Amino acid sequence: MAANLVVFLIVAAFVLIGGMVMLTETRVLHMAFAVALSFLGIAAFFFLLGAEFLGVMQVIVYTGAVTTLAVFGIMLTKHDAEDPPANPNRWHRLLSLFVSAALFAIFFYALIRTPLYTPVERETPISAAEIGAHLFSGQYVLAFELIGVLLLAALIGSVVLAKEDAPDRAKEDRR
Amino acid sequence: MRDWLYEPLSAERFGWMVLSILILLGVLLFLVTYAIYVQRKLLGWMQSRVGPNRVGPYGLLQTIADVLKLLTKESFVPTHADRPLYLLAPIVAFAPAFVVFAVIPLTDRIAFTDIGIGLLFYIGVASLSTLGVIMGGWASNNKWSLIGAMRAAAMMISYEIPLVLAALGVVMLAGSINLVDIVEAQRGVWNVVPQFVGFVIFLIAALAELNRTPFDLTEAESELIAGYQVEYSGFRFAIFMLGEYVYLFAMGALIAILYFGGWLPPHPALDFIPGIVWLVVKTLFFAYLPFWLQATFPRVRIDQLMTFSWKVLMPLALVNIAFTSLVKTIAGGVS
Repeated sequence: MAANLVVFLIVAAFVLIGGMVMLTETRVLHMAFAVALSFLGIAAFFFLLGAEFLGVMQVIVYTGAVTTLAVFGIMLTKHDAEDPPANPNRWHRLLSLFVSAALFAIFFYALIRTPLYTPVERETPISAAEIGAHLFSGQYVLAFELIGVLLLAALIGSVVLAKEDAPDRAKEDRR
Repeated sequence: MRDWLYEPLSAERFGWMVLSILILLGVLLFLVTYAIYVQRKLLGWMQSRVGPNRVGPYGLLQTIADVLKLLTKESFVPTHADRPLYLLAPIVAFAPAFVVFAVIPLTDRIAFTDIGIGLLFYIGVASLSTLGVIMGGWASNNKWSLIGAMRAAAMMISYEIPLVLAALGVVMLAGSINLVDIVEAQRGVWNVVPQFVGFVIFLIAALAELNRTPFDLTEAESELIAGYQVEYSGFRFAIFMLGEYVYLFAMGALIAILYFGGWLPPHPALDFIPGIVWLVVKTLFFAYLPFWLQATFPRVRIDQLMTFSWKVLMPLALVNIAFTSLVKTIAGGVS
C-alpha cells in the first residue's frame, strides 16, 4: 500500500469523524470544534494533492479564523450551553432519511459521471509565486481587485457597527 | 516529503519517521527543561536572589524534579468542567508548537520538510494554538480562566497581523516564502539591517504571540491567578507549559532565520564553523531574550495592548511594506 493511500485513509477518517460528531453533538461549542477537525482534515487533503498554498490557506482561514469567530460568537452570545436533543417523530425520520439518501444519490451520480481529470505530471508542487503571477494576470486581476474592494467594504462596515456604542455627543446635545 | 508519499510504506521507512519524530521530541524536551532552569536562574540573579540551587550541582536537576512532581500529581478535572474539551485543550495547544518545527530548516540541507511555503505554514499552524487556549479557558468553567482565554485570543489575533505584515518585508526582499530561500537571500547582508523597522515590529509582536512579559496578560498571576490554566494541574498543566516553551524556541529559530541569516555566519571568514551551530546559537539567544525582558518590563494594560497593536504597530508595518516595495522597484528588482 502506498504511503499516500495510508495517509488519505487516516485523514478521511478524521474528516468523517469530525462531521459525525458535529451532527450528533448537542453542545454548540463542541460542534464548532468538531467542524474545525474536519477543516483541518481537508487542509491535509490539499497537502496530499500537492496544493500546499491552498492547504495552508485552508488552515488559516477555516481552521483558524472561521472557527475562532464561531467560538467567540457562541461564547459572547447568551444561550443555553446545551441544546435539547432533537426528538423527531417517525415521519420526520423517514423524510430526513429520504432527503439524505436522495442527496447522496445525486452527488454520487455526479461524481461517477464526471470525467476524472488526469493531472499533468509535475515534479514540484505549485508554488506560491506561480499562484501570485496568475492572480495578477489579465484573467484574474479584475476579480482579485473586486474581492479586495468587497473586503474593504466589510471592514469599514464592521468598524461602523462596532463604533455605535460610543457616546454620541451631538445627538445628546440636541435633546 | 513528496517522494515518500508515492512509495510503498515499508516498516523501515515508518520506523525512521517515528525515530526522527522521537529525536526531535527528545531534543525539545531537553531544551525546554533547561530553558526553565535558565529562566529561573536568570530571574534570580537579576532580582539579587540565588535561584534554584538545591537539587543537583548548581540546581541543575531542579526542573527534572519539578517535572516528576507534576507527573505524579493528581490529574484533577473540575466537576462542572466540560470534560471532553477540558481533556483535549492541552493537546490542541501543544501539538501546533511541535508541528511548526517540521518546516524550520536547520541548515540548507537538514530540514524535516522543505515545503515551498514554509513561512506561511508556520504562521498558519501556530495560529491554531489559540483554539487550544480558548478551549481550555472555556472548558474549565471558571471566570478567571475564561477572561484569560478571551484576552489570549484577542491578543493573539491582534498581534498576528503586525507579525505577518512585518515578515512580509522580508518575503519581499527574498522574493520567496520558502525559509531556505529567505536565508540564502541574506548572503550579502542580514535582513536585520535593511528591515530594521520590520525586525522591531516582528520582535514585539512575537513577544505578544508568545504571551511573554510585557504582554503576559493571559496569565497575569496578580490579577487573573493564572489565566486559562487556573484549573489545570499535574500532567495537563505540564503540557500547556511545554507548548509555551516549545514556541519560545520555534519563534527564536524563526527570528534567526528571517532577520539574522539563519545558518549563515556573521562574516564569510567564520565559514569553518558549521551552519547548524550558528543557527542554534542565534536561536538560543532569541529564546533567551524574553527572559531578560521579563525581568525588565512591567505588564501593559489590556486596552494599551490593543491600542498599541492596531494604532502603532500595524500602520508602521504597512509603511514598512510600502517603503520596501518602493526601494525594490527603484532598485529594479521587480521584473
